[in-house]
Amino acid sequence: MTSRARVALAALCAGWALGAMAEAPSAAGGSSTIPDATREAFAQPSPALPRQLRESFFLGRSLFRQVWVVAPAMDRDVSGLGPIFNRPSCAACHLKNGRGRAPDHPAEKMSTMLVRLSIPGIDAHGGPLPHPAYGDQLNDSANPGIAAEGQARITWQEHLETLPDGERVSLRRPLVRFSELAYGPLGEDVLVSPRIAPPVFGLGLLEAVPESTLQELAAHSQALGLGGRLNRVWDPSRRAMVVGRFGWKANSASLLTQTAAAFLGDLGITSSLFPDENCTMVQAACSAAPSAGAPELSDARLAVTILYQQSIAVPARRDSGNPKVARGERAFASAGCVGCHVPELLTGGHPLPFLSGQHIHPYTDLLLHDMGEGLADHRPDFLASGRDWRTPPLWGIGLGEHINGHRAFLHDGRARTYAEAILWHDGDAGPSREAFRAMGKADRDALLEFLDSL
Amino acid sequence: MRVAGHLKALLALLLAGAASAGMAEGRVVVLTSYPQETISLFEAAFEKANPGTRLEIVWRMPRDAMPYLLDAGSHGVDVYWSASARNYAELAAKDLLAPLAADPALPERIGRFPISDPGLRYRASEIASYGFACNESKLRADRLTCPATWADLAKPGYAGRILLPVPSKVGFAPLMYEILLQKLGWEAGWKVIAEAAANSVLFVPGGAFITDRIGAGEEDVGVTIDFFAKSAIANGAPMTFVYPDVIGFSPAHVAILASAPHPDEAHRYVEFLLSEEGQRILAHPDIRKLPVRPSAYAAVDAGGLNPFDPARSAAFDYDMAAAQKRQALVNALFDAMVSDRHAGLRELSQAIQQAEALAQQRGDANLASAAGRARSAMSWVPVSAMESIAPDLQKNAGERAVAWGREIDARREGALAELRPLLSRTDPPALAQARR
Repeated sequence: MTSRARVALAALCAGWALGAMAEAPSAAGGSSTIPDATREAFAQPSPALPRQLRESFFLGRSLFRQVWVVAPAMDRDVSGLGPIFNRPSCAACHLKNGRGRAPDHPAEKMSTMLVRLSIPGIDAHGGPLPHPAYGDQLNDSANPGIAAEGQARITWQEHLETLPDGERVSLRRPLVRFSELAYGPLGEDVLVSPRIAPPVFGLGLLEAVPESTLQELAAHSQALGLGGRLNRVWDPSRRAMVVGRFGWKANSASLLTQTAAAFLGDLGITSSLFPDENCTMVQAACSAAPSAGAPELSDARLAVTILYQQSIAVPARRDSGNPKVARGERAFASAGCVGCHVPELLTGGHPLPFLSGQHIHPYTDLLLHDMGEGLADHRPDFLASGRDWRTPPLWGIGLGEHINGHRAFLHDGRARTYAEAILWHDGDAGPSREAFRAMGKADRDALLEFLDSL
Repeated sequence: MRVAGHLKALLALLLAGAASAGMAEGRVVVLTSYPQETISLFEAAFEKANPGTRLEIVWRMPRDAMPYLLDAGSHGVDVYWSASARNYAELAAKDLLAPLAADPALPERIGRFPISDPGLRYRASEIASYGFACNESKLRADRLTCPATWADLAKPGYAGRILLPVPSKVGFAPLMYEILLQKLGWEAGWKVIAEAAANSVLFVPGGAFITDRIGAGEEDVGVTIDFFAKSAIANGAPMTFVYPDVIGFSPAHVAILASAPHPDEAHRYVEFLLSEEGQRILAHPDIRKLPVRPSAYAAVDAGGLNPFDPARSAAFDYDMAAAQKRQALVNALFDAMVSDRHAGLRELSQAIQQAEALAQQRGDANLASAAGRARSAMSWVPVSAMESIAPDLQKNAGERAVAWGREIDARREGALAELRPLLSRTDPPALAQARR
């Protein structure tokens, strides 16, 4: 069953070949870079995407944006939502393919983030142990007649951080509170981790970074004392432990696994990879609810949804000729940020040849790092400890506010500015944070302007 | 030990039977077919304006919504918010809708056309219109401009550059063609449609949007409902949008189900949707629809179109009930005249354009006359205006399509047979010049 989805994906890529593309070395996504700073900059097909795959790309986009329907329904191709879910479409969390945000006040619901749950211990493959009544994430929505699992609200604890030159920055830390829990108390030892939706462009290029490169990066990171290491996770499509590279804790090995898991966990839509509805044993109405098929999402439709994510272009960097940006880039390097936010990677082979052999500038090493107690969620995920987070890519970060109307950084969206995000860095990244704190204001401002140019 | 504790709790829950369905106070269940971006914007704004009240969305396309709403209790739906005038009329006729609050600031008509139910069981919530999305830079490169009228679409310079939606496949298109048929008259309307179609590439959904293709320069002119193009432009797409000479308006509606489990919250949602604040959300770059509250136009960029401007609304006069009744027939006629024989239609159109150009160049009255007859044959419609509203024809339009096709083919092939020898006698340089 699991190989069918992989075969469908491979079939999409087969039957054609792409000639070498002219590449601008400074282009953020190699030949998959677009000079686009509009509100659609995270949603454009790679210019290198072969014409034969454009219709599949747009079909994948339609499925990514599709609001799914409760079964039974006439529109069978898009039915199967729930029985319990978080949001009814991929695009609901990944609005315009950008990042999600955390609610600013407790009355506001989580519309572009979710809360991961587990209990102490590990599952058969070393992953998190799902909560017996609520599973591995809180589904705060449900089909009519079925109880949603509950609601999670965020309240903020704020404190002021004063930099050596007297500049003050307000930092906030989320506290998650649960209400309307439909299946009993969560228990005092429940492990809770709120996560905003990450951006979804350029993912094919990240998928194409060779595992050997990640191992080299990890060795280099260890040698530098930056602690970078690989997560190794269970991949249900290969039925093996493999290197993880997607997700806030690098807990997903491939876009296939990541996408199929999100279809099930976030929307309640089954696939050949995850054929069972996400109802726990106590959720009787959920288990008895009608299904739209076995599975609800065909392998062909899963494949085009993945192809879409693999093939979205990366917006070109802007303002690189601006002296202040150049100064900020130097400050970024001198503070050691580039030790983890690695500026350049070379992609290897990929079933989509246009993603191969590309010099890309994602500003990530795709590795786990200890980020300190302040950011810890104390929820281990395979080899990732409660203090570990994967270095998130920074490409396109400067367009986020224009596209999504907000700035929200770090895994739970607590940081409202680049400065806040940097000041939360600790653990392996503590020295870089201290270097930022110690910079003169002109250098700090330049560094922030550099980030805005990405 | 901790796991054992959880298992005990799990066992207790299982023994106690089904888990309690602890539903929140303050929720409103809205059935809609709007895209996610529209839903998300209204959801966030409504919940911000009404703290403690949660908007819950049930999504269904109009054809799927109707049986769902007709089930006993309508599955707990409070509000129906969608673009499907026919569904609202049917729900009202079945007495399944609750009356809405009166609001004198919300017009019930555009011109002579009622957009809201006079009995206030459903109200217009937004308006859309139709026009042409243009890739100006590509047109300019060939010394063309964006067409200004429907008749412009038939001009030889636009041949192969226009993307035209097929009404049996594209949800917004039936009303757009019906507006033409009612405003221009049945035969004249079909003439404009057939001549435009002969110059066009046909669009059916499935991959790229009309705006994707125009933005990418695959075609240069996209015939579309306005908000797709206006939203794409607002988000940075390299194109322009023109409202042509003949336009009409397509309202979407909102209603509260008589069986609504949360009537107070439902009224609050409808009130918010129609408020100045709610109507201004329609101007967001991701939506770009036209408000139904005239005062909202002062604060939004409506792209130069205010349906409540008497100069525009005076021209707005069509029979929506008749349009709904013959929608399937018009779709079937479009397929019979255009979609099912598009290659032949284009071939005949090109022959006509050559013949007309040559006739003018040479002052050849016989050729001009033959071209005129061929043009009539090209846009000949097998059903009269009177027949188009006959109840019988609505039911078996599909069955008649084969017979219509035979008649259409016979006339068009006859026209081509008359033109071919006249064109074949023309010397090649003259023909090439005429083609240009």
